[in-house]
Amino acid sequence: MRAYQDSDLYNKYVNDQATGALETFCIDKDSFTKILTTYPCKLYTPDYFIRIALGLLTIVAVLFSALLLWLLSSASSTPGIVIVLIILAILCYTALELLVQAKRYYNAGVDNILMVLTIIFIDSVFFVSDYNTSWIGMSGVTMFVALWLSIRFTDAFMAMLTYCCFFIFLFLVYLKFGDIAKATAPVIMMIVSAVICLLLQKLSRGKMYSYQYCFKAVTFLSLVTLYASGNYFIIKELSNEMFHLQLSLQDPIPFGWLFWMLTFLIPPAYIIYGIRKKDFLVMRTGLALIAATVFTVKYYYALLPVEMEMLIAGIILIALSYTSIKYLAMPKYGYTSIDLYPSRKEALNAEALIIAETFNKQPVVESSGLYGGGSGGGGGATGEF
Amino acid sequence: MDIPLFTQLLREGLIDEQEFNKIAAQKDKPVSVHWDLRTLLYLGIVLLTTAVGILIYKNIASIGHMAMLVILAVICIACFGYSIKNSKGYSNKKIESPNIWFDYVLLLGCLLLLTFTGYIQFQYNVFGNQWGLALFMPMVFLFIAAYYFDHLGVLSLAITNLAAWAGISVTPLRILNDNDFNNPHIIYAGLATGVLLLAASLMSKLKNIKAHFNFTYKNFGTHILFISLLALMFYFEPIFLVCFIVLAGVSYWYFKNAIKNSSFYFLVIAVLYFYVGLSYVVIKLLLLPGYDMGALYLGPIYFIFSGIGLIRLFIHYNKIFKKNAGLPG
Repeated sequence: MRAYQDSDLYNKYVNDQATGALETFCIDKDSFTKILTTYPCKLYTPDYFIRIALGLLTIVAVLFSALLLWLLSSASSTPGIVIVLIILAILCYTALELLVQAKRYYNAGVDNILMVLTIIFIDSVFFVSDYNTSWIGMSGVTMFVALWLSIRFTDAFMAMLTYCCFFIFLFLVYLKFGDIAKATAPVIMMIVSAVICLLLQKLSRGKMYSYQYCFKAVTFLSLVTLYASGNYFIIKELSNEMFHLQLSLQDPIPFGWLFWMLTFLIPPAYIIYGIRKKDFLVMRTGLALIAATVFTVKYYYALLPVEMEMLIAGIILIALSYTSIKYLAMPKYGYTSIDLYPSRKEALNAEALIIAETFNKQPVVESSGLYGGGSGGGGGATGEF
Repeated sequence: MDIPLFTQLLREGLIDEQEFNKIAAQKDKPVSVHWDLRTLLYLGIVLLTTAVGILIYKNIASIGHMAMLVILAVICIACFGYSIKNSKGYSNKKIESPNIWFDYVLLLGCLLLLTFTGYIQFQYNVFGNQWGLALFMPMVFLFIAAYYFDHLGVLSLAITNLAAWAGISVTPLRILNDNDFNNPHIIYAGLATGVLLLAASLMSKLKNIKAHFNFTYKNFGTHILFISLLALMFYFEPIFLVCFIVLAGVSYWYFKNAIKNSSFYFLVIAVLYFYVGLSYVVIKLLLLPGYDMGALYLGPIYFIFSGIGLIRLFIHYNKIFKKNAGLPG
């Protein structure tokens, strides 16, 4: 079922583990090279930067192929365009299969983009056809295509797409069951998210090493949907929008207290669970969801002017992180604030760029005379330079 | 880490007993939350400084400009005082910062300095009509601070200030939006700034003065230079082929250098900028009279084949670089 040979995927897993051991100074370079030559990985996976470049070029090549095909076919009617789109989807998928077999691309940018474009071409069919766009049909079809791609190419992004489509599909189908379904939808969706999350936790402990990233990515999404299904803002505004309830900002919803409680309790619960189990994925998701809770509260209750809220939030964050940094300078409870492996130069360079981007807001000198040789104010500066 | 896997590697003799013990001990080691806490701290500082900025802006009438300036100056001096007291002194080599707090206090001091000079210029016109001087003075100071305290963030601020003084924006999100590349002065300023930054990069490496600053200089310099070269080509339409030859020459020089230094990042950047220029020239030539419908088909064909060609080129060199680094594959 998988496009890659098991031995290739296994060797890749061994290489990844060895890289981890090298980065944490557990093994030396000699042992690392020995492991890499004994378990040679023939899959081609370049760095992130190269993946982005390759992905961009793939988009250029495919989009212009699409343009050329459309020009050659001179299709203008709806059925004609649908046929062109289907041919394009088939071409993308065929190219993907051939390239993976011949060149063994594995997360190389090219294969990722071809998968995404296959799905985009298929979904475009739903938009082109004159019928009302069927969201159930679209999410259903996309779900199956993405599921196939994620299984065959062990692709994490496709796994996430599968989950999203599955979630939307289930939600829309469930709503068809009438008023009781509408009222119980949040609970059902929460249960579904929780069950999938637990199932994945179990699966990722198993021997399916080649799908570990897929499991991680979908676990993250299931944590988010579990929160979102119980979030007051999402429930109120979504039902308002979908069932045309015309509720105003202050109107209550049934069981509102329950959803407020869930909105408040789920993020701290994630953080506490994550800290106790040393599960960074759950912990970081919890941290990010705190921000979502803050925005939910702010939407309904404007307590203070926005700058005061920012001031308070800023002080709390600085105090919290500063005391944690001081407190964990000596490791406690299995945690430390010290960077144990400070070899990551990229992180520092990225940080410097972020600083320049977020803080640099001074105006730029208009038509400076410095290099232009004009008679502007910059001329004075030239002398000193 | 997968202990059963490493047990197997030990049995196969790929790692020794000592290494295995280190790996096994890994799970009892404390987990580092360094970057998580640092991100939170950074977020807090951004929120706080923004909030203070808004507060001041809203209440300036009741605080008064003079009082505001005094407060800014006092905090600024306090920040630099703290930094000087805690710094380990100047060295040509890289200095590790004494603690996380230090980096942010220094950054705050530098940001307040920029606000301060902007403020006195805007309110009291201290530098008169010489706006350039109002940017030049803090820039010099930022460069000194970046070198003395060894801070990459402050260096980036100094470089963006240098560019602002020359009249251009260089941060990633603003480089294309804020700059009016239809103004030849901006293009010349960009070219000169790019060359200047590249020279600084080269000097820091050759003279071994803060050699780890070299990437920051080179990165900013390269992007400014290439974007200005492309702008030059788009602007001077009658001689666009001459400009293209210059662009091709610079790209080729980068390409050769990147191969020599095994820097794939700069290889990709040089090739991609060259590709943008080449595509412009190809489209220009196809739009010449005489092609008519042919151009409509030749255009897509060019992009399809050039795209695939570049993908093959990148992968080819990527494999060579990997081999040179002593890695299989």
